[in-house]
Amino acid sequence: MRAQVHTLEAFVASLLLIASVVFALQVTAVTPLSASTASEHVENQQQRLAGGVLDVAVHNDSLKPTLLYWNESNGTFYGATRDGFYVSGGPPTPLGSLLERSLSERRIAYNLNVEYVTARGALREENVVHMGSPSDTVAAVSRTVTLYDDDVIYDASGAPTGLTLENSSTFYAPDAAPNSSVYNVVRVEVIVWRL
Amino acid sequence: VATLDCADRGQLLLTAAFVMAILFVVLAVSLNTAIYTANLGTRGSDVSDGHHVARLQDDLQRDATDILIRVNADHNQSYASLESNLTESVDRWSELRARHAAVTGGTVTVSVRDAERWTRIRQTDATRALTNAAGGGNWTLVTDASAIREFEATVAADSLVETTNDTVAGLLDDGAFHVIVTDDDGDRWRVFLNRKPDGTVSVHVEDATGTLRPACESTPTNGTVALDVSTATVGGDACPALSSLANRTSPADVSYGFGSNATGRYSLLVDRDVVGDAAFGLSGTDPEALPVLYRADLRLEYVTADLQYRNDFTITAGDGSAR
Repeated sequence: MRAQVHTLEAFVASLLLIASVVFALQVTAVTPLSASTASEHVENQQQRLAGGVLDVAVHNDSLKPTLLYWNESNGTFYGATRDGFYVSGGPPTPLGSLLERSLSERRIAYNLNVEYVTARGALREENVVHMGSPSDTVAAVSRTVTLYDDDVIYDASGAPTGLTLENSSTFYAPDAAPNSSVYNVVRVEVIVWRL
Repeated sequence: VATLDCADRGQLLLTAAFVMAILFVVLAVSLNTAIYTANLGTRGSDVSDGHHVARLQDDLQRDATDILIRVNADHNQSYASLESNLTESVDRWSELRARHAAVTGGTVTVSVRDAERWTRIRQTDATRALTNAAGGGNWTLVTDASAIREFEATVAADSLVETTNDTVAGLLDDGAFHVIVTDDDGDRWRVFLNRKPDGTVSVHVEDATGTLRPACESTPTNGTVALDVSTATVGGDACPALSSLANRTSPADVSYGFGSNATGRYSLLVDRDVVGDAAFGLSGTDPEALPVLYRADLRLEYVTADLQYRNDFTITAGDGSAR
């Protein structure tokens, strides 16, 4: 009888041990989507990656053509949904394919937003790509781009048209600096998260 | 007694299990904290806003240069209106950029401190002789220019004098078109252009010692030859003799000799204000002297709660080819 009780105690003790180990592991939940301390590395990596993509776009001049890929008659980006932004992937521009190659193919979702200054000096946001609401593992990077009065809008094939921003009537950002060659200064933001 | 001993052992076992469980939890938590700290520590210098400043500086350098080039593109202007356009555009840029910076708690101020008044001298009519506004062939484009940049000419081959002479005296006797650069130390360089009987164009350079360097030859394309003094090329090929002009150490005068014996286009940038000189035509007529703001000094100020940053720097318009 006594031996049985001892065995039972030993069992209970080992159960307790295992339970505490399991609890300890649960505390540091290492799932890819939860914002745990372990996912900090993932966030850092994604932030660097998105930053690298934007830097490349700035230096090979592919960032601005996407901002100017504007369907003047519809008042939306070419090929965008009715809501005015792209949902399933990047725009059909060099920046779009750069984002696809570097982010989507690695199962990283992203939103691309443009924040511009209104004529009255407030900041407003225009969605370019909107894949949804980010998960907990989210990182954001941004770069600033200056638009000039004589920058031209691009057509559906990605070739510049003769229409300058100054003469455009439906372009999303207004001329925030009349009487100067600067049109607007916009902040391009990429928000990335793991799918 | 034996019964008590056994009960004690059971309790001991339980207590040990509890202690170990707590130990594991403590270990897990401290490991977690260590990972978290290491992550934050390697996340860049967010504390000092250093990367904000670096990016701001980069943006400003690029955008201010774009603005300067756009301001200069509007040629039919006076220096005063170019300067006010530049100041206005940079001020507006500064205001708009400050809006974005305000989100991260910083204030941005950019101001134009100085802009250098340069002149672009050019002729755009390819069929006009390289003479001054009054038609004189021997004339001076600019005096006392310390910097002569982007000096290029496209000359019609059949407008040049045909000669096989390869001495300075001979070329002068035949009336070959030449560019004269004379610096304040009295050193003189002369670049002669003439056509040879086989149709090729040769470029002779007389250097400061009075020696005529071996000629560079070029076959005309579409009947013209491109001479680029700043990059020392003729028709796109390197011409070592032209590089000797780089040895100039003091401000120089640039003149044309026998300009009536050549037709074509040319363009050069000089760090002097020669707009309105009698040698040049009134607005729109060749040869032109156009006001240009080539170089501008800007001041960038960036202030956040824990950083005060100020930097003066210079931007230049143009391709920057030296000489």
